Amino acid sequence: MGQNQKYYLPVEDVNDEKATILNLYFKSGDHVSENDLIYTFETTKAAVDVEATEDGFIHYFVEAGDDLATGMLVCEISDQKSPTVPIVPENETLPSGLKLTQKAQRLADEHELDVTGLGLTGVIREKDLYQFINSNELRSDGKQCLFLDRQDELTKLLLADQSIRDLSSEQKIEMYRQHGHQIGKDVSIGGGSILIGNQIIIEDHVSIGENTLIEAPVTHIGKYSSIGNQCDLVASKLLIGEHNRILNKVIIDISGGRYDDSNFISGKGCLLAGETYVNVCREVKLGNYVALSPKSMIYTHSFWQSVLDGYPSNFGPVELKDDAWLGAVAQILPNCIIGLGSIIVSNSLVSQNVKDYSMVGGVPAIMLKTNLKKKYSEKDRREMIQKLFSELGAWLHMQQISVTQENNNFMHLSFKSREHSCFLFTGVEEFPQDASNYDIVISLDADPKLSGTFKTTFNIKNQSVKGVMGTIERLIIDFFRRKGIRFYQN
Amino acid sequence: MKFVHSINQALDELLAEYEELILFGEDLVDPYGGAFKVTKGLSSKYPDRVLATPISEAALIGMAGGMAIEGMLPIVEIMFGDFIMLGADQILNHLLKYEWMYNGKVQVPVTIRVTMGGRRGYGPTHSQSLENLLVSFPNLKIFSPSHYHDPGALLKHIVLNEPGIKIFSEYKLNYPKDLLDNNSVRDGLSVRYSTSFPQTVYLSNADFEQPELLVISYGGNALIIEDLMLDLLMEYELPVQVNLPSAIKPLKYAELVQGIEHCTAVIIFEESTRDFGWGAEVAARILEAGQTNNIDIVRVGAPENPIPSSRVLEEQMLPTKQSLLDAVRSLGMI
Repeated sequence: MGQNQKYYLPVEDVNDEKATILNLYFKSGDHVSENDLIYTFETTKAAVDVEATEDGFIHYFVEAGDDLATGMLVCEISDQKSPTVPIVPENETLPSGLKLTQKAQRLADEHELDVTGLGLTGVIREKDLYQFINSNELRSDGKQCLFLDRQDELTKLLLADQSIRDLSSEQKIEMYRQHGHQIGKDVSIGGGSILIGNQIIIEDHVSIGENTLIEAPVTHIGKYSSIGNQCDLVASKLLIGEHNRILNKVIIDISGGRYDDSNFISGKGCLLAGETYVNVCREVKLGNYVALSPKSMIYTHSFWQSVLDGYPSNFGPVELKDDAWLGAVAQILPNCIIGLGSIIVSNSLVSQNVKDYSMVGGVPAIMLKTNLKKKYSEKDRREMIQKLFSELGAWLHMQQISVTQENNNFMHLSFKSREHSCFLFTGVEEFPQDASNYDIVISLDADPKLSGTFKTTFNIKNQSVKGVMGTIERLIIDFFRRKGIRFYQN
Repeated sequence: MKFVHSINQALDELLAEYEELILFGEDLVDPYGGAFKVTKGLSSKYPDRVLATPISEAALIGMAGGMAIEGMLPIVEIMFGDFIMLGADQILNHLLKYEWMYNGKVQVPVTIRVTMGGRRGYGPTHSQSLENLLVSFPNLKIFSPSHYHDPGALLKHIVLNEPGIKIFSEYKLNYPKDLLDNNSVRDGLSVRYSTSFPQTVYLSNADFEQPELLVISYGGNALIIEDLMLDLLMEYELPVQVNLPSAIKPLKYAELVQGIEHCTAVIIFEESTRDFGWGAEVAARILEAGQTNNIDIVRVGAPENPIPSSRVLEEQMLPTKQSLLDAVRSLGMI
């Protein structure tokens, strides 16, 4: 981290909770000197000038004319040309200034309604949208639950004959293909496992463990996903994204009753750890890179005592947005949306929405931290990845690989008489003459300067890995995975 | 127009129109203009009738009583509402009793302006909301505007039209707030007013259609409540009505519970300590009126604990939007 000085809007007057920025005297990125006038703000009392207390590059986070709460960041002066402060996630507002309640948003999404062209203003409630939706579509009796067609030839056979489950993987795959289902290449279905459904699509490189039951009218499993042993995955639509890892004894079920949206949908790179329980009485949707830790639970229903005695009967979908992480043994109750990049602490009970980039915990869960996500400067990122690179060397050494670390960006690896050269490219290094001979290149960002015929290329920005995948490459993936940096094959 | 300017302007207009009106308190002359700048500019304009006094609340309230008996119209500023207890003897044992003791031969029209409320890190003796103590003084009238009221108009009304001793409670965080009405109210909320003075403000997050939850509160608590209403709208579409009387005491019952017939629950919210307070009185009135059939009543207020100076600890001690959300959740409404 370089030197930097942050300038917050001072409290000039006990009555002022905010002040107006009148003038900014430089542009972001300009170099300023000590005692330069950097900005002026106006309180209810007077205009106040603020001067720089040191030399450096200035970065403004406000514009002239902004009304700003006292204590907010106005600018910083640092020795770097780019700002060093964390991103503040912006609230979702539509460009037109419309704001949708969650119920309205759900309805609009369901009916693929573009709300900007409807002539509505301000806050839009669910009922405001009814007039734009075909009234037949609105009544729940107009919708239908998706049930398994048990008269379907293969389904009938699978339900009648348990012994089919013990056929070999190849035999089972052949059987599915013959009945018109799409099974990709390099797919394995373990002993005792079976998929029951009317429309089954399994993409390439998918593995399903042993004694696992998948029962859904529509099943789609994305490429490179794996499902463990002794799982029971039951839903109306089971749409598992690519690169998902579903470990052992995971249960997805419809207890609480099938509804028209009893679906499980996951994006890319999700993890459902061992003994995870997901109830899809209503839809459960996981964004990309969502993790459900061991024994965590998601419920989309809650009821027991009589509603006539005033007890609740709640049903509702649950959504975890991209990069959300549900801690071990934590539970989510119906009608909750878990924000981007948020963390739910182990053992917590979440009964309300969780804001983006925040950490919640407890029973019931309360806000513990906000603004979890930080944005570092390119220079800091380079330094951080170099530290990780040297940590990687030490870790590979522990894994019985002989490591000779030459410098911050280069090491020799030797394993089972195979020699590897491993190079870290952070965007600024000069390539030596023999660059094209590197075996493994780890690159921070995709960069045109990075060219050559490497055996394996890891790209952190694109989360991609291309080329030969051997023991060392898998160890590298494992090392970075434990830092939350993931690589996926295409 | 900001809250602080509205009161400043009302005082200016009163001083201009009524020569018998006199305004005094601690540190309120220019250039300082009072701890919260409410009287800024007034001592320059009316140097004989806007006066800074020594630091004795007992003296300045007692003095106001004497002036009022002699036909003047005094307005006293108590810099921090917490200090009013130094003048409590004058209020309770003297000013409030003169009229009765002298068989109606004297009138005591005194207005006492006080600042109340925490959330500024001012610590245990400068942050309290003592309305819950003052309501127990027999015959004392207490008013508190929210930023949806017109605080200046309310102050003028009580100075000129309400007989006897009146407390005008100003919430500290309200001073810098812009006043809101139906044109400037935040997206998703709407506001209505009762017709007679002192006005009750009604807020709704559902255009006043069939509220399920009624929140009763007053003054600066509206700042937290409007955030709550928007949360309940955007996340749950729970229709909420909020009634904000400007008179904490005496209560105008019909206005206080307007809309209750649709609701399944009432939350009474105050920043004062919860127990034995104003909320208890409001709850008792609803009970006595027999309107509690199938209605849950919950009071949300502060625990019986001093208010810490640390902003973090203060936030833990005073009731917040989260306390209200917890209450709504405990009612099973979300």
